[in-house]
Amino acid sequence: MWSKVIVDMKNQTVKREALEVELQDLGGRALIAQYLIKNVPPDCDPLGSENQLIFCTTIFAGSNLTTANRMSVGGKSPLTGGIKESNVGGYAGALLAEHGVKLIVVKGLPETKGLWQLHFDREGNVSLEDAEGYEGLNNYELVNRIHKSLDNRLATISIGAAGERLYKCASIQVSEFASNHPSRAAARGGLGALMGSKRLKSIIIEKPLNKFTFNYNDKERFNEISKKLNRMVAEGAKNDPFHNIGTIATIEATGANGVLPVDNFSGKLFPKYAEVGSGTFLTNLSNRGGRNKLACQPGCAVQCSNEYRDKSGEYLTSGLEYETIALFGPNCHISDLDAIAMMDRMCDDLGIDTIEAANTMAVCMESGVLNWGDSDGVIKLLKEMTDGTEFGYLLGGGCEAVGKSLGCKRIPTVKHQAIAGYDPRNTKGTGVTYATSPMGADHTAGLTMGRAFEDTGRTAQAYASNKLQVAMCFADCMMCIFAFSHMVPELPLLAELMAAMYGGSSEYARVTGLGVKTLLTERAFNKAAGLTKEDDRLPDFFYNEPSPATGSRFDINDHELDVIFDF
Amino acid sequence: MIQVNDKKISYVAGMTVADAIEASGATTSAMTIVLVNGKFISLDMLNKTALKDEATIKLLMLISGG
Ligand code: SF4
Repeated sequence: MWSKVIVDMKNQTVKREALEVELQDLGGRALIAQYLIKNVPPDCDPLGSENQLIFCTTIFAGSNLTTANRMSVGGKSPLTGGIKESNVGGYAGALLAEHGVKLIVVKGLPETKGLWQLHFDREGNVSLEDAEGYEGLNNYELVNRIHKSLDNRLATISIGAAGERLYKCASIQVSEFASNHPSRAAARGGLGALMGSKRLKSIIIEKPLNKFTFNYNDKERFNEISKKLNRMVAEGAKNDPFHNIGTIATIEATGANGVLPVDNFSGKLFPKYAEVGSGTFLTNLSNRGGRNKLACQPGCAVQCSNEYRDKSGEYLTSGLEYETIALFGPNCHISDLDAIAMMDRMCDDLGIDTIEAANTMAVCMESGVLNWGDSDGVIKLLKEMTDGTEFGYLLGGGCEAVGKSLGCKRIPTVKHQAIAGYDPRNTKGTGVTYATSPMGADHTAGLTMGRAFEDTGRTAQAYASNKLQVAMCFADCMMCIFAFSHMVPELPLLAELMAAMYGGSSEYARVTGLGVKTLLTERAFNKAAGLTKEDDRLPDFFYNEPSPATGSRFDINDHELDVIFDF
Repeated sequence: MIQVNDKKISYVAGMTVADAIEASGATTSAMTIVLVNGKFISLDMLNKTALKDEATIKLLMLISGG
C-alpha cells in the first residue's frame, strides 16, 4: 500500500501512515482534486492556516511505464483563488515512489518564527529539520549547499526568495534527474507562495537503501502492456521534434499563423520569430557544448529537456522551453535567445513562473515602463524582483496586479493568472480552454491548435476544447503529457494498466471518467471558493480587437462557454 | 525533395501529404499537428492535399511545455 506523510507546521510534527483506500488508485490531478475538496475549505485564505499544500505522485508512479514519475503539486491558489494542480518533471516523483509515498500533505502555519526542510533520509525516515541557515537563498545556491551536506543521490523540491516573500507568481522548483539543476518548475498559480507561507524551504528526498515494492494485482499483465506502450513512445519519439529539438520547435508551428503571442498579445506577426526558433537553438547548443535529448526524470523515452550554455560555454539554464521563449521573446518583442535563456535562469533561481513573469514584463512594456524589445530592461526588472525592491514586490504580485497598478488596459489574464503562449483569437478552441479550465489559462490544460484552427464553427471549437481538457486531465494523473501524446492510438490500454496495478475495472470509462470527475470536482471547488461564470471569460480585448495577422476575434459566446462542461 | 521534420524524402508527382508522411516513416495520431509550408492541415485532409516539390512538412504534438 502507498503511504502518506502529514506534516503539521503548527507544531512541526511529521506523521507517516497508510494512504486511504479510496485514494490508493488515484494520482496527480485527480488525487489533488479529491483530497482538496474533502479537506480544504474552498473559501479559506490561500496563505492562511486552513489551506494545505499537497505533493503527490501519479497513478503509475514507481512502475516501469515511461514518464510515470511526474509529480503534482496542489492547493488553493494564492494567485487564482481557485483550486490548483501544477505538475512537474524532475527526480522527486521517482524517489518518493521508492520511499513508498504517494502523498505529502503540509498543513497549518508555524506559530513561531523559523524555516524548515522536510527530509526523507536513506533509511526511509522522514523528519522536519531546521533550515534557517538557508533563509533568503535562491534555488541554485540552496541545492548546491544541500548536495554538499549530504553524500547520497537525492532530489530536491524547493522555493527561492520569491516563495519566502509570498510573491503570487512564485514557483516550486524540482531538481532534474542526473544534473540536479533546480530547473523543473511547478510554476503556475503561485504555489511557491503557499509553500513559503508554511515556512517550508525545501523537501529533500534521498535515494532509499531499501526500495518500496508495490504489490501489483497482476504484475505480468502490467509489464506486458507497459512494454507495448513504452515501445510506442520510443518509436514515436524518433520522429518527434520535442525529442530531436525540444519544445522550442513549437515556434515553427505558431510563428507563421498568428498563434505565437507578439507584443502583449497584439495579434500581430513577429517577422523575426525564427531567431528564437529551433535553428538558433541547435546552433548555439552545438557551438557551445550545450545538449538536448535529455531526460528530466529516469526512464523517459521522449527526452525533451536540454542544457543551454552562454557564449563562453558556461552552463546558463536547462529545460529552456517554448512558453518561456514565446512569452519573454516575441511577446516582449525580444529576439535574443541568449537574453531569454538568462531570464529563464533568473526565474528558476528566484523561483518564479516564467509565464507569469514574462506576461508581466509585456504589460510593463505596454504601459511604457520599458521599451518594446528591451531585454536589458527585463533583466533589470527581474533583478529588482530578486533584490526585493518595492517595485520588485509589485512585480511579484503577477501580471494582473502590475497591469492594474500601471493603468494598463490590455491585461492578458484569466482567473487573475497570465495566459500561456498561444493567441486565443487564432486558436479559438485553446481560447475556450483558457476561459473555462478550472486551472485558468494554463499551457497544459488542453490546447487545440491545429484542430479548430480554421473558423470551423464555434461548436467545433468548444467540442475540441472539451475533449482535450478531459484527455489532459486524465493524462496529468498518469504521466508526462509528451509521452502520453504518443500513446493516443492505444488509450484504452491505460484502463487495463490501472486494473493490472490496482485491480478493478479495465473498461476505458474508468480512465475517461477520471478526467470528467476531476474537472467537475475542480469546478465545484472553484464555485464554493466564490468563482463565477464571469471568471470563465477571456479579457475583453480578445473579443474586441481583431488580430492584425488574421482578422480573427475571439467570438465564442458566453452561453457556449457556460455549457462546455454539461457532460 | 520533400522535408518531413528532419528527414528528406524524394518527391513523386501526385504525392499527398499522407503519402509523404508515410514515406518518411513518421506516423500521426489524434494528437498530431500537421503543418505544410507553415499552414495547418487538418488530419482528415492529409490524403486529399497534394504536395508540390520542395514542400516542408512539420509534424508536432498538440501540447507544449513551460
Ligand atoms: S518528455 Fe520531457 S518533460 Fe516529459 S518526462 Fe521526458 S524530459 Fe521530462
